[in-house]
Amino acid sequence: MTSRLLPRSLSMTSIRTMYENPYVKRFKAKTKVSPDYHKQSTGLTGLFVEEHPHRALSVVYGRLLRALEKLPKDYAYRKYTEQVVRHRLNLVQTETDVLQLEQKIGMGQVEEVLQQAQFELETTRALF
Amino acid sequence: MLKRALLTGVPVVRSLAAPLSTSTTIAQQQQQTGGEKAKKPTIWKIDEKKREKLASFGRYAAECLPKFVQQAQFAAGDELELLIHPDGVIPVLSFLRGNHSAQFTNLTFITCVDVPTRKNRFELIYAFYSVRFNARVRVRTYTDEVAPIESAYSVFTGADWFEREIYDMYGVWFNNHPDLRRLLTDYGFEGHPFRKDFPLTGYNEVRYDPELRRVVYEPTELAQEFRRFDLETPWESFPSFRNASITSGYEVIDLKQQEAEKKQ
Repeated sequence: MTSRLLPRSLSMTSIRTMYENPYVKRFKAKTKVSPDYHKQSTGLTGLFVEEHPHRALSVVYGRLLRALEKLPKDYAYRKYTEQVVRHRLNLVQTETDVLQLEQKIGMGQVEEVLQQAQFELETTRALF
Repeated sequence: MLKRALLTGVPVVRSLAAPLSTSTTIAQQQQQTGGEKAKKPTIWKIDEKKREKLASFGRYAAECLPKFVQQAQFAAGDELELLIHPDGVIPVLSFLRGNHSAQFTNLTFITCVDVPTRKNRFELIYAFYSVRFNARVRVRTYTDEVAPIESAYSVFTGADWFEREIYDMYGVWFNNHPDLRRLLTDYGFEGHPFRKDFPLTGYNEVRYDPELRRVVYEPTELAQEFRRFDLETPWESFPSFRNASITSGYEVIDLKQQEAEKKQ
């Protein structure tokens, strides 16, 4: 409809350049990293620097634990996942230094750990 | 000069200069070099530690998804396979992608096999790779001509074209696929060419008609009867496997083992 009402030069496809392509846009950082942060990039495409990992991780882990509580108590998936999440949440709460936290978790950069937690949350919701 | 000096003194030269006749085995060549440096074996060597880890992962997956995982097995020595019920495609795939101890984030391929003698003739195979743990797993499930299967698109976006291809080639219907249409065959094509009952010559043939000045489609007409060639060798190919079952290459993982260990 819009293409008929608008002149051809103003229709969506003609305006959109390659850099505004939604698929290209997904891999562009939305915010700039502050210059005094210990890294400017994760070095991984599509994975952006998280400057407040403790806050983000506790939020996601909290959601995960709440989602897991809905599952039956003796269910193996709940048991194992809660074990991992509790352990990591404990590390997040006790360790304030980001680099030390990365070392202790041992799963690469903290952004990757955050992504894993998000995937796990999707899984928990998809299972039931 | 430098090149020549390098070439003379080094013992590697001997193996290079030795005539590479076809009769020399690897062992002989190693003897010629004097066994100075141990060569890597050129055949795939099964890593027992990794295999044990994969087996315990298979048991773990079966324990977490008891409703869907029917069997876990090794194919070709160390390739883990999970055989699942067709209802469990989404839960199993999302478990493999999201679980902290799985993280199979890469969908390598989806493919299908047609075995007309089975009750559920189509077998779907999903292959995954875990970048984090450098491990691979295959998920196998089954369906028939009419039973639809849930699309993996909601978990792995990359499943889009694989499923379109399977739909095109075998006619397996995927539910909730965003854009399920033919992928490889021609416009207006009918039938599914990878089914075993699809004729080798096809149903239609295509030619350019100079009078009509366009490509025309006609039913296949063969100048002579389709001949059956006997292409099998008169000798037996694998005599030592004469009485072996076709599934004997698989090694089933005992899913009860872990529970028994825990009770002890």
